[in-house]
Parts: sequence; C-alpha cells; structure tokens
Amino acid sequence: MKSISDTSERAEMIRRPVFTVLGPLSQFPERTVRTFTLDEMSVGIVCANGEVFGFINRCPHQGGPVCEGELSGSIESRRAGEYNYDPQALVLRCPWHGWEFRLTDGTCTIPRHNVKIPRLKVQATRLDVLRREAESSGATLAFAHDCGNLPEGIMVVALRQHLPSHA
Amino acid sequence: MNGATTQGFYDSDVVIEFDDHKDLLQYMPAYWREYFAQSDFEGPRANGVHGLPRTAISKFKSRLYQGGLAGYVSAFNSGYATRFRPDGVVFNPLYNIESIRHPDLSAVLATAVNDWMHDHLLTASGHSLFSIVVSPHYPDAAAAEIRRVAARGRAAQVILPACTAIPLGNRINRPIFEAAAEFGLPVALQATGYNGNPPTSSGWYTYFVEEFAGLKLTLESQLMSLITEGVLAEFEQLKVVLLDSGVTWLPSYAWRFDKEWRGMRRDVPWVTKPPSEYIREQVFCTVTGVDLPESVDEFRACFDELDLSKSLLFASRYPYCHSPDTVESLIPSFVDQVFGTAALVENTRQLYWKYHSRSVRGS
Amino acid sequence: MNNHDYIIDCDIHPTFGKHDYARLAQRYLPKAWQAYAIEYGQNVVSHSIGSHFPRIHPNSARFDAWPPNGDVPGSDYDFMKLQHFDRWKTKYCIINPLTLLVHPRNYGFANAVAHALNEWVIETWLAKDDHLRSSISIAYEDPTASVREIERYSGDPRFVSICFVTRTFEPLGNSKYWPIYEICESKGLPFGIHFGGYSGWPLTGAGFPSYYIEDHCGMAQSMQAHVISMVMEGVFERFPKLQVVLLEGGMMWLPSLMWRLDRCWRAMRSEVPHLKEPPSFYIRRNVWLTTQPIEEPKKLSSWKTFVEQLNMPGRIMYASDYPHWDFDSPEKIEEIFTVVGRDFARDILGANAERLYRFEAGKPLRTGTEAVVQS
Repeated sequence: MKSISDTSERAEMIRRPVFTVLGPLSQFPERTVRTFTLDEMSVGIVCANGEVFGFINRCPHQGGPVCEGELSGSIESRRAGEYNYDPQALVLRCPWHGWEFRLTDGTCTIPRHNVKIPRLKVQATRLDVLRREAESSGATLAFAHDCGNLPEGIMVVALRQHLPSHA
Repeated sequence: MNGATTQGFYDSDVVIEFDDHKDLLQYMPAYWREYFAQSDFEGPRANGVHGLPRTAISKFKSRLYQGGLAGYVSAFNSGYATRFRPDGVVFNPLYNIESIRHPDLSAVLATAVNDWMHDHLLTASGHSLFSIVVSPHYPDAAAAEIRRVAARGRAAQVILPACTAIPLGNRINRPIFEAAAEFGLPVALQATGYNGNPPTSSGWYTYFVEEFAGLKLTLESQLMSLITEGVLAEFEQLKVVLLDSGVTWLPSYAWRFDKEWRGMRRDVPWVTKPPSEYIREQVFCTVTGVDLPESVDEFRACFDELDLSKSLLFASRYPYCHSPDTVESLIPSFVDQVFGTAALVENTRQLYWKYHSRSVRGS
Repeated sequence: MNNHDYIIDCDIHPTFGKHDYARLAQRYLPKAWQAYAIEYGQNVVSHSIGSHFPRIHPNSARFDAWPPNGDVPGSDYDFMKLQHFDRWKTKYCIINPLTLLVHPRNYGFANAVAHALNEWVIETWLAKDDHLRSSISIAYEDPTASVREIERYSGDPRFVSICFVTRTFEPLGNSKYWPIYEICESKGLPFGIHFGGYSGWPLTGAGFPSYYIEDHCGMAQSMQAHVISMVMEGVFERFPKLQVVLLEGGMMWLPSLMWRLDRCWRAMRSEVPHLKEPPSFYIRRNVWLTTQPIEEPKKLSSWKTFVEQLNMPGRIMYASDYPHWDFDSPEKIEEIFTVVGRDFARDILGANAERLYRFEAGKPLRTGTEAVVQS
C-alpha cells in the first residue's frame, strides 16, 4: 500500500494512471458529498442513485468550495406556481452563491451559462478487482491518508486520474 | 412633415390630465352624478401623487385647460399638433385612479375616462391612440374594462401606476395582464401614483424633489415583480413600457438582477431566462426624463452591454416639454445623437401602430 | 493572488452563538432588562422579522461557514480565523454586528442592548484579535442616547465607525438623526449604512414583494433612498466632513443616480435652497462605496465604464460580508478591477479603507477627515 504523497516517485508516476482508494463504500452515505485533498487538489465525491460521482471542488463563479454545498432535487416550471420537482435529478448547489450543477455531468443549470465543474472518473469497485486492474494496466494503486487497512474484496470508492491533474 | 423620417412621426407619450370630473359626468350613471354633486366629491387628483406638487399641476392647467378638457384638446391641436404634425400620438391619461378605494366608483371613473378619450381624442392628431386607464386594485374589474375598451379599437396600451398597494406582478393582478395580452396590448407603467405605501423602506421623504427622484426605485421594484412573478415569462408577447423612467439605471439594474437570479432560481423556477433577456425583449422606455451624464460618450457607453436601440420610444411628454423648435429637439440631444430620432420613431410605430394598422376599427 | 497582508475587509458579521444571548444578558444587561427580555423578547415592528419567505440558505450564511463545533456561522472565532482571516491573510476586518436587538421600539431596552452588544464585541472578538475592528452599535431611533453611546466608545481606536441599517423609521436625511451625524463628524468617525433593519415598510412604493430574491435585490433600492435623502435634506451641506459608507447595497447604480439627482435638483432647486452645490458634488465628497454584493455584468469593460462614470477615485472599498452567502472573495474583486488597473484593484482591497479608517493612526482625535476629503 503506497501513499501518493511520496513526491520522490512523482516523476515516474506522471505518465502512469493512478487509482486512488478513497475509502470503503460504507463510508460514503447516499447523497452526502465528502471532500478530499489530493496533492493540493480539492475534490468532492458522492454516491447517489446507485452511482458514484466526483468533481473538482471549485465553483467556476468565484472559486467557492462547490462540493461543500447541498444536493437537492431539480425543479422545472413553465409558469408561476407550477413546481415539477424531480428528487432523483440531483443538483449540487454551491454553498456560496447557490449556483447549481447537475450531478450527472457537472454542467451548470443556469440557462445561457455554458460552464461546469470538471468531473473526475470515480467508481465503486471491489478492492481485489481494482488491484488486478491496476496490475494489468500498469497503474499505480494509492490510498488516501485515512483509509486504514482495508480487507480484500471490500467495496471501495476509487478515483482514477493521471498526475498532475489540476482542472 | 417635420419628422426626421419618411415613415412618419409618432409620439408615444402625450399626457392629458383628468382633474376636473365635470367633463366625465355624462359618462357616469345617474346615481353617481347625483352623489358627486351632493357630496362635493373632488376626485382622484385631490389625493396627490408621489413626487408632484399640486401647484405644478395647476400651473399647466391654467394655461391649457381653459374650458376644461375640451380646452386641452383645442390647445393641443392649435399648438403641438399644428407645429409638429405628428402622424399619431399616444395619449396617456394622468389620473391616479389607484387612489380611489371604493371599488365601484373606481370602475365608474375608469370607464368614464376611457369613454371620454375614445370620443374626444381619436381625431385630435392623425391616427391617435389612447391608453386604457384601470385601477390595479380590482383586477377582475380592470380586466373587464380592458376587454371592453380594447374591443372598440384605438387603444394603445393599458396604463398603470408605479405606486401600488401590491406589486403589479403579484398573482392577484394576473387578470390585468391576461386581458392586455389577449388584445396584444402593451402595459405602460407611469412613474407616479399613490396608494398608501410610502416610497421608501424607511417611510416618507421630506421634499417633493426626493419623492420625484425616488420614483425610479418604485419602478425598479415593479419591473422586478413583473419578472420574478413570471408575468413576462407567461405572456411572452407582452410588452412593458416604462414612461418617463430615467432609463440609464436599466443596465446596472439588469446586472444586479441577473446575478441574483443565477443563485436564486430555486425561488422562482419559472423565470427561465436571465432577467436581462426579458428586459431586452419585452421592456421599452420612453425617452423623456432621461437621467443624462455630462457627455454623449458617457451616455453611449451606458448601452455598450445592454442594447436598447430597439427598446427606446420617441416621446415628447407634451405638455411637459420645454418649447422645442423641431421634432428632434423634443427629445434629449444625447438620445438623438446616440440612437437617432428616426430609429426611435420607428420603434414607436412598430410597437403601437403596426398592430393598429392591421386591426383598426372605427378610425 | 498573492497574500500580502494588505486586504482590509470592511464588513464581517460575527454572530451570537447559541449561548451568547444568555451570556450577553447576564453579563451586560441590568437585571430589570434581563427580566424584560425573558418576558417580552424582541420588540421589532411585526412585518419585518424576516421569515416571510424561505431565504435559500439557513442563517443567510454560506453553507460551508457552519463551524465544526455545531454552532451557527460567524459564532466561532477559531473557525472564522481559519476560514477567513488566515485564508485571505486579512490585515484588518471591520465587524458590523447586525442584530435585531437594537431596533426594538422600546428605546430603553434598545439602548441597554446596544451597550451590551458593544461590550460583547469587545470581550468576544476585539480582545481576542488585534486585527479586528468594529462599528459602534447604537439604538439609532433614539439619537440622544445614541450620542451618549458613541461618546462612550469613540476614544477606543478599535471602534472605527458607527453602524446603521437601511430600514430605519425615517429616511436617513431626516433631521431626527442629525445629532448622530454631528458627533460622527466631530469625532472623525465614518458612518456606515448596512442593509437590514425592521422598519415595517415595504421596500418601495410598489408594496411588499413575494420572494426573497426581490427582497435581496431590493437592497439596492433601499440604499439609494438614503443617498437621495441624505443629499437632498442637506446632511452633507450641514456636516461637510461627515463620511458615509454604503455597505451591502451594491455600487453600479450610483452614476445614474447622481445624474438623476442632479437633473431633479436643477428642476426643483427652489425647494431645497439649503443645497449650495449639485447632489453629485456631495456624493463624490462624502460617500464611500463597498464592493459587496458585486454586480456581475458579462463584459469586464462595463466595469471600466462604471469607474469612469462614477469618477470617485479611491472611494471603493472591499467588503466580504462573511459569513453570509452573498459573500465575495477578494480574488474575484481583484480579478474584476484589474481591468481598470492593477494598482486600482489593490487599492480597493486595502489602501482605500486605510485612508478612510486610519487604522494605523492609533488613538488620536480623528479630525483628520480633511485628508480624506481632499484625496
């Protein structure tokens, strides 16, 4: 088990993908965004509707910690007093000024605003499966600081990225 | 003709004040004629409006309204109309009917004013139109009156005061906008009025000049209400005209409003476009009472990001214009320099007369 | 941006924590008022408490500003230091302790609470951190008592201004408030007007709005009414050295308002003969702006236009409004105003406030506002 903060090996790792285990799936309650700092980059990860989502934790508006915001269902309306609410179509609301971003793809819901929060590749997978994949693809397997000792076979949430990777 | 365009000269704002209701009595039921006489009822104009001293009203009246409203028409014809020969004007009544609390009297007075204008103003100058006056406080009655008058033809728009008890966008007032939209009529907001609310969140100013200056703040609230409450969203073809509003506050207002909307759409999900788009597409301003900087370049720069070239309307606000010599000098020279009289006249013609050239009745 | 310890934040809002009310009452309120508070609570005008509609964010705060100790945003010094002071390396921050307790109609209670609030600020905040400053809380609807309260603290250099709100019982030009302006001018204390308050009136002559967005956006209208009032009633003619800071009202509306006031004054000058100069003269001499909440035109060039039209060099100051949700980061402000000039942007973030509040000046009598007026 190797920590990714070991910078002396960074040059060697740069061209290789990195799978970072963030923790057991059980530590990611449904619809609760957790933030991590990985190599000075803040990211937010959330499990919702059977999927795992990851984003860069920086709002394109004023740089606020968007992943520290709340998740809500979406609302659409064509006239005053009409509320078409979809609790499954989740949006992440920036804690500063309330800009909303679709969980599915990070795009901003504001009409005429072609901005988004960059997505990260993240998934829930078994640790042993992840190890095998890392081995066969030549990826580095890393563990976030407070992961602890994880038994094989447990479902984990893992971030898949290249280093350095700042959006 | 005097206009700077071969398309004719159209004026979106000629004001007629209804102070003396003697001329209106013939349009009222007998019950009210008797009650007026016996109660010595003064009428709405005794209630005053924000920002305008009563003395200002009487100054003009003594000059123009000799012989009552007929005197005004005669003065208009021999003065402004002869001098400038407009192809059409919109007569906007100044009559703070919103100050009348009695629901039935309010309706009777509105009907009387609208009928008087229909009977006396339409031949005043070219192809003239008048604005339908209603009280915003009884929306159902207002809607009925709009439909009645609009069906007769030659109505330019519905005219409402900026100063109301409840913001105009409030759902209670929807019938007014439904009726206006049904007939393709714009809704004009006059920077005036009175119905109980003080002009500021701290109550009343001390001086008329403060109230007058502050009227633009009330207009800002009303426009905000029309957008946030979804009136402009629901009635996509509805146009709002701001009369004598100041104009140059509109860009900074739009940026603030857009910014707030971006973060607070949860509050008003039916506002599906940035407020500045509703403003660009559905809001017009007359070009009297423009708050002007010292240089034409500064004025031009105001509209660099919010293009109002299609939204400004040629207007004189007769009789509140100051002895101009030419049509162009009826409007501020900066406005003429930046936008061009011809363009503003065309905007005015498109907004009011394009509709009427298709469907005029009894002209 | 580089953190060079130059950022001065003109508006932060430490808040009562869950236990602060009780502590405030026990430590600083006379027993009779403690009993009153328990029996009657706050006595603000009933239309204006502020729960007429949901306000998007709980406590009107940034969602990330809730401290880990579970208390309310703005109540925990250590968390505020970490999240705000250290994050931006602020040089000074000015506290505006907004609280509805100083606006009750019972002036005896209001005065007692204002005093208690000033003592609370000293003990809970100013004593902890010498980069913090505060405005003096007053029960502004009782100007006589307010003057006494200002006298009490005006010699303490940690109190750098007075705090008013926009929703007062009268527009702020009204002569009722002039005793307060008089002492502010004589002590060289800037006078801050911050959005908020409990007047009971709707924002404008249009009536009460339905939605929070209208109420929030309406801060701009609320603030402008006071600019109109203070100018036209002759506050700046009578108190030429008084400096007024507009807090949380926005900025971009001021050029067109100056043009409007000049136009109206020219037309109706005879009504206000006490004004010897056009309104824009007074505004440029006596008024300061703060940046929050920053308007956001799409084109940065609109900011250049604004600055040119405003023509008030050196009178824009940075304010964050931390921990409220409509907070603006210094980064964003610097980015925006760099379009005018890098030094211009940096002055907004620090130097302009330095000139007005004179933090380094220590404890002298602040009659040096001539320097401010001339700059």
